Amino acid sequence: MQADALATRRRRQPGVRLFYQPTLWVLGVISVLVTGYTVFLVLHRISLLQPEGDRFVGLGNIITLLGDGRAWNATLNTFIYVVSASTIEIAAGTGIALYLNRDFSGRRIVRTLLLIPLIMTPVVSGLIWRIFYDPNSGIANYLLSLVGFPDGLDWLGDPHMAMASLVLVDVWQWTPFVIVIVMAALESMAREPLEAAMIDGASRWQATRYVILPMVRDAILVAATLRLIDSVKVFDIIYVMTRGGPALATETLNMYSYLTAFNSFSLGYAGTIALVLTVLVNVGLVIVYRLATGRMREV
Amino acid sequence: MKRRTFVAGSLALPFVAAGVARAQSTQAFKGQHITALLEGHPTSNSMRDMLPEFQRETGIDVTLEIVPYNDLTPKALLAYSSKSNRYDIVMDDWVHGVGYAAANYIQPISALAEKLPLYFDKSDLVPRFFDTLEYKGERFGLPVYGESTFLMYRKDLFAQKGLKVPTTFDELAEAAAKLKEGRIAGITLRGEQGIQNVYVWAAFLWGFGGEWISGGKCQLTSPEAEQALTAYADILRRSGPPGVANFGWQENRLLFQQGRAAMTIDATVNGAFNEDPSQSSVVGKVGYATVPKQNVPLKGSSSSLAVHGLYISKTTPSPEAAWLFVSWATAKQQQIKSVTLNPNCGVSSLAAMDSKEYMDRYGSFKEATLKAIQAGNQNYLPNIPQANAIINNTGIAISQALAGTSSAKDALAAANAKNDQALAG
Repeated sequence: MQADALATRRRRQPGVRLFYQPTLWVLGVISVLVTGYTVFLVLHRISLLQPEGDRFVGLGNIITLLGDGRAWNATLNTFIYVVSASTIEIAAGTGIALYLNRDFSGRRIVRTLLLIPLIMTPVVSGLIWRIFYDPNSGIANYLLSLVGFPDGLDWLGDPHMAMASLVLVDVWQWTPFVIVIVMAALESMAREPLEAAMIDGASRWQATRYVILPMVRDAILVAATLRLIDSVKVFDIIYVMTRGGPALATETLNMYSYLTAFNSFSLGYAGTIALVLTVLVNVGLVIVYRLATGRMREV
Repeated sequence: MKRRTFVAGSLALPFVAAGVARAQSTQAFKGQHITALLEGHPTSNSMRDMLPEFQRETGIDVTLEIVPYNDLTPKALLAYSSKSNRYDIVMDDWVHGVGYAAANYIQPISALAEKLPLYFDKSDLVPRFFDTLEYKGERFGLPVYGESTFLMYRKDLFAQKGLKVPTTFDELAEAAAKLKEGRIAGITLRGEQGIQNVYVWAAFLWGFGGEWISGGKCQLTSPEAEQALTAYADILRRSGPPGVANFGWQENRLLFQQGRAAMTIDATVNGAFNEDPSQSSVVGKVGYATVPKQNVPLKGSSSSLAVHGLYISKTTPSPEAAWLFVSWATAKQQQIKSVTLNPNCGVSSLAAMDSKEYMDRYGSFKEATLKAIQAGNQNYLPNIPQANAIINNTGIAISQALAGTSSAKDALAAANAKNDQALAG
């Protein structure tokens, strides 16, 4: 019924289209052009340093990619980064939001302070953290020395530590984002079910687990999806802090694609890596969406 | 007219005429507009500071775009490959310049130099720098700055321990181990994956008797290359500072300037920073020596020779105006002034190197710099269009060996295979 009414209204007011169609057209045309050009790149060998050597290679780039150990390593690194950063951010962000969801003095100040990492440009936060992590004069090792670890850690120079150090920066920067979204959901949540549960004798844990969390699940899912997409795209922090090193320990697909395009100047192969990343992200998102909506229907 | 006046007038005439001719030829391209893409470097900052003089003198309107070294080549290549004519002049390392020349992106300078010799004085340019910018018998661009590498060591710490300056890599490792004490590292070197670690490791490669390429094939599987990588990784693991695997030029330089390392091998430009009292705590305490080498027959010197040039784009609509700027920026008057404007010891002008301004600032390591440049190896890094791919692949191998995630032999074998692929196109 509602849909019919809307359709009738649209027919009566053709001017409405003018508000959204131009945007859709512009976005659509740009998407088609960019995707088309990426497909063109994938099918060609294009090197900026050897302009005469450009040629059609069909699926050659993709076949090379499948046998490229460095690309597999980058895929694994991307997966580790995305999963660990998003999971920690969602868990910590939700936890902190639940904790802050009560009245206490200085609440506004705490909320404002939480926003600081969020509004900082990632390149700036990368540079700041690089200084923190400096094993010779950084504050991170100084703090460790205060609690009985005088030797400190080689945060970015040790290949076993570097990825964790980067994830920590992502968590520091983006957990507040999850907190803000979940807190907004908590504030707009109806109070009656919670009050009813308390009257029925639910413990604090039970009320949180069975009443509050299901009610803010949508918000958590939105935050999770946005964080997943964003952490796949991460580039600036890695570029500033490790450039994919040491020993390829922090090279994600994005970083590999960038280095291939702007250090080796092989645009065709770089385009191939980027396209594969796009396909992987889309597949990942479909899976997450299915899982999420499936779970939601159960509720 | 009195006789004396006539004689004086006659004598002055050629100078006046020359002055007029000069004014005419400098103004011949008045109103033209050129854009130059420059590398973030003291030389470029000096060019920017002096630019109004050039614009006044020639009437040519110049836009300078100064970007960090890492972003420079991609920016230039994107502009060149899209045939945008965005840059009339590009400044870059010859390692990339040779790629521009091979791809036909930049033009030879001989004809322009002959046509407009106004600011150009070949005899004043450091011959080793000038001769480097050659590809297939043609000269491309003029050298704007150049540098080599040397061993920098703390004279005071060496005296305390009674050590002599190392001349071989074995002695270097031995000295580094003895000098490491508490928070002071025995040696610091660049370890960051990519051009950073390759730039320093190449000293080991050549110094152990290895080479990059021979007969069109990469030579990194040679025993010399393996020894070089093992030595590099060992010395840093035993006597290097924490975090060295992530050290670029900046981190390495700062640690040494702070007095927290007894030795380093790096670019000659670091001398200017070591001796600058406003930012160094080791002023006057640093000795400068030739990069070590093993007692084996070498295929090339272990000292580098890096030359950065100003190149004129092939498709520029204003080649003459571009040439005037390039020859003006590299002329001795500008280079002497450049030394006073910014910390710049890598000048390409002989007159600038001999100037009082230069001696006052960099006299303490001038001899070592000249010696290093004289011994500098033109093929220190491969000067071929595929250089970038080779540097990237090798940088990964060095990083893996240093981190211990792969043996020197395996890491180099993998890099060698990839380099051969790049060489085969």
